[in-house]
Amino acid sequence: MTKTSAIAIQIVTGDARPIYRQIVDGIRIEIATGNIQHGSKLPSVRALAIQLTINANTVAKAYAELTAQGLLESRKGLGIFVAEPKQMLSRDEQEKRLQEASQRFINDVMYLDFSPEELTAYLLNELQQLQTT
Amino acid sequence: MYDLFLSEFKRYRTLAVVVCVIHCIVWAVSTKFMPFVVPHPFKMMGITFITLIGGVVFGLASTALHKRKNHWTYLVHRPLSARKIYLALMSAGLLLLFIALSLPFLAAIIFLDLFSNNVIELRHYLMALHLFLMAGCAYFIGVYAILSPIKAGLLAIALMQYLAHAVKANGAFDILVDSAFLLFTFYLARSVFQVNLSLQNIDKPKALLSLIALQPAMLLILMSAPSLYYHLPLKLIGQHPQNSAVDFNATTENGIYFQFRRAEPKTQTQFLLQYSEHDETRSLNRQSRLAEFKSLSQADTEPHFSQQLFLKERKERFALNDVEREAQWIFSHDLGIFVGLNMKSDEIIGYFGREGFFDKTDNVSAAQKFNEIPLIVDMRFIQTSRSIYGVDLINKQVSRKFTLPDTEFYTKNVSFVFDRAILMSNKATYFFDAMDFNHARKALQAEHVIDNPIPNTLYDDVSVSEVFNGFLVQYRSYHFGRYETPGAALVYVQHNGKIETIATHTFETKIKPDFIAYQPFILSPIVMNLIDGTLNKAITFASEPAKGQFYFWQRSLPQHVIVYAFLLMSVSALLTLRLLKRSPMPVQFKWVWVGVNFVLSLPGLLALISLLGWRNSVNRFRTNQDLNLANSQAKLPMHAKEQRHV
Amino acid sequence: MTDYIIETQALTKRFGAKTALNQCELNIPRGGIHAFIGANGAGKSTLFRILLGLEQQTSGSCKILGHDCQALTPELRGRIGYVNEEHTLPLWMNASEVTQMQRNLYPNWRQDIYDSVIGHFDVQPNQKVAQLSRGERAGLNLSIALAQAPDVLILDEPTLGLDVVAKQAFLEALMYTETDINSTIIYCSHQMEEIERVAENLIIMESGEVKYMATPEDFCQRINYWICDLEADLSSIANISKVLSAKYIEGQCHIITVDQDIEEFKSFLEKHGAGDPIIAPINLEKAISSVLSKNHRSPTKVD
Repeated sequence: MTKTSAIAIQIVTGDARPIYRQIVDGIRIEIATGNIQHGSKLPSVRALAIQLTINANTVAKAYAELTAQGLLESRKGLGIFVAEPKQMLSRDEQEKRLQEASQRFINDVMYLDFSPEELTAYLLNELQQLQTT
Repeated sequence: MYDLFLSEFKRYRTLAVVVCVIHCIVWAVSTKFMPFVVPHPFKMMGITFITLIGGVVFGLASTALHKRKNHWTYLVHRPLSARKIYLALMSAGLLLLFIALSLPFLAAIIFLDLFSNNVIELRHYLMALHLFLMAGCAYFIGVYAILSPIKAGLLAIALMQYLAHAVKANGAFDILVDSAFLLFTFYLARSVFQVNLSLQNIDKPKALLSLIALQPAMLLILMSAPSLYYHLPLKLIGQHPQNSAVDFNATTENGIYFQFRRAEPKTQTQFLLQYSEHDETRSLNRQSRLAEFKSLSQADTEPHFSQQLFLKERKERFALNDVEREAQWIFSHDLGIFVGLNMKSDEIIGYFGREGFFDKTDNVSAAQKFNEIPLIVDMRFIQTSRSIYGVDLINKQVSRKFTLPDTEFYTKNVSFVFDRAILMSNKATYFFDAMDFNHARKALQAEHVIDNPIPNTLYDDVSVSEVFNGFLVQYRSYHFGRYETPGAALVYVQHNGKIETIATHTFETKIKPDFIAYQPFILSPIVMNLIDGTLNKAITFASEPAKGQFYFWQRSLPQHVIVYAFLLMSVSALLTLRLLKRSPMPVQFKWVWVGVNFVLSLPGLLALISLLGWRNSVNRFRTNQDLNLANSQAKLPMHAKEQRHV
Repeated sequence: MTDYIIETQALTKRFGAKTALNQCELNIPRGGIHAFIGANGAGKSTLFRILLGLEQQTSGSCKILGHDCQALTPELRGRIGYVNEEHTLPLWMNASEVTQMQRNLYPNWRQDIYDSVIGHFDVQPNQKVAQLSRGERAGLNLSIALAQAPDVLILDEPTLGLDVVAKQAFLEALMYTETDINSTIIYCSHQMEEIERVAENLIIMESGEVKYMATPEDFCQRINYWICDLEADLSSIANISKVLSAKYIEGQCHIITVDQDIEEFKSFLEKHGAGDPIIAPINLEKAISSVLSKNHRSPTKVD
């Protein structure tokens, strides 16, 4: 029997982000940081719902969106699995997303006392660390 | 449905058992002071009161508990029809009432029947049934009062007055009336038991039940109203007829009956002698100043029926007490004879009937049996409707003293005044020598026979005074000759046998206006006088005839009074028709309502108005529409939608 | 046969001069958990009472399971479950007696569902209902309601007054009991935390009308919280139909709008002289309360 990986995320009520979005983001980070391996089995919709004490349909919605994004795949009779990473977006779309994310990052760090060179160095370091895991 | 029944039963089971046990204890304790089967007014009243109050309070309380918003939802929102829910709850309620209020009595009766020689007969068992039925009716009335969608529903409690009825009939008829009443109240409560408690069903046939249920309260209110608009204001300003009338004395002209009654007997006699043209008038006048006056007995001689309920029993019809020998001779309805019981040893010491004493009940002859429930007078005489017997317990002898002719019946029990024994029937008054009467062993002849001045049986009082040459007998009645026209007569009975009516006077002066005096008739000619006359409810009003007598066709009423009554009936019927004009009920049924309110008169109309609600009634007169009408017949103005609705 | 489990059209209920429901339009599709939100007096209880046939509407129509609410047969009532905060149960009976009574009453009784739900709560069969704590009674009530296998289950503030543990047990029992019955659940509550966790569909009632029906995230997206510098008479802005509230906090203007196109409103603000209008994030609770308090008084100027 395939062992199920744990999804160690928490959701917060009263947050500006809707719950299903919190789940989507949470799982994405878990996959991105390598806490959940590619190809591993995820808890069922019901199990995750019980874990987080939320409506199962909300979890289903989150899983559906992640599946649409290509991060998860559903195997008939076996469950939900983390898909092998493959790029689903077009080059243009990827660039657009990069631009948006960069904009957000820049907005956040603008007021800090770091020079562009320090910021770039820091970023490079982080990304390289991701690559190795 | 059974589960709901069981659940409701369990809810109050402990309470019912506790009440039953307390009841039994109270009975057990009270028998130390008075044997269980001996009738006593307080006992009867107490039993009636507890049963009725217990029933109605239980109905009110248990239903109020169910009516609470969430509890009502819990009760009715289930896959069980309202009909079955109702049946389940009511059956539980009835069973609980039986246990608490009827079982103690039944248990006591059964115990006495099996383990003692007491005379326990059908009427005692019927009594347990009667108590149960009474409690059931009170219970349903309580349920209705709470569940009724209109606040006036509480007024239905006035229906209870019928439950304390004193029907003059045997036990079986009583039970029949009870059962009919139970059926009525059952359907009455059922008619308001619906999922949506605020639904008013004025347009459905079952609303008729509510109309009938509210009518007694309306009548009571109407009958009590004169105290507010007549008696009290007049008393306050000192103009009340009863107070402002001129003082009554021996020379008053005409006079007012109310004052005549309260005057001293000698003043009364002198007053009446004003109207005498007899030779000895002046002498009698003088003698009356010093004479002694004695009233004849006023005991209740109305017939009692075989197997009449225990509640209706009276001491005078129950047993002959022999205190010296600690015995009671109890009348048995079943056997028609008296059964002697030693109170200490509970042994039967003998029997007696019309012809004498005997030992065994094997072959009691018809001549021995009393054919009606006799009256026991002074523990020495047995009086039936037409005969009077003397009972000698020491010598064990029964002797018939006097029997009336076929067409007469006794209206008073025997009185002993001025060395005479006096018997009164519906037609005549009989004088006997007291010694003869006491000791005679065979039938007597009367010394004097006076033909009663007026042929009715409703004498307020008959009083006798002894004068030099004989007796003066004063007869007075509230209905002297004519209904509601009081009067008095003076009869001079001389020792030599001459009997003359020397004075009569009718008190024509009415102190109350006709409308007040005749109110019971005007307000509700048919119901109050017919149905109430038959059922003889507990509440009576001063100007009504004595219980149960004189239905309205038997009275001679002034014409204008009849006109008033008829007018009120017609107005009520017409207004009912107007109120129901645009109602969606079928035409035939509208006429039934109109007919019912014709019979019920003003109280019925008021009941209808309270069913509809005052505002709706006024509305119906004006626009033929109800407020808040839920069906689409009424066009409601559309409300402009709020701007900010997004 | 419609797919709507509850349908009302122009449903109006007046009590004398007071209007409890005002042309209420509601269509709830089958399946899922629908949350009812509204201030006290918004008309929720009245709506439920009419749905269950306990009151009659003044005008308009109301249908549940495709049938007129005023003509509910016993059979239909067996398919509608109802639980409210009082959790009314016969206090003088014990848990097993109550359960037995319900088992005999409901033809579709599912003992397996009862067993699995009651397992969340500490209720002994021979405990008298009067002795149960509020949470335990709520659990018993829920177990019975779910075991009826109703087509629609209405819960009116069922967790009111329950402690943390009981509330958790209740919600878990409600959401996670494995049932093959696709009950539609109507959940009514004031507690935002609960609503966020439980609701798939929000129904917001105010002043006797259904103002909004949407998923929580869709609903939040329709509300925008603007902060800008504006020197203007706020009362005129506040009266615009799509503005829910407008007030000053320490000199800055905070405006909440609903269903208002962002670009349009931005240019509108700039036209009125607003400097730098930005949109702040808003959570569900704030969004709902701003919708509900549109007509309520609040200070327009907070210094």
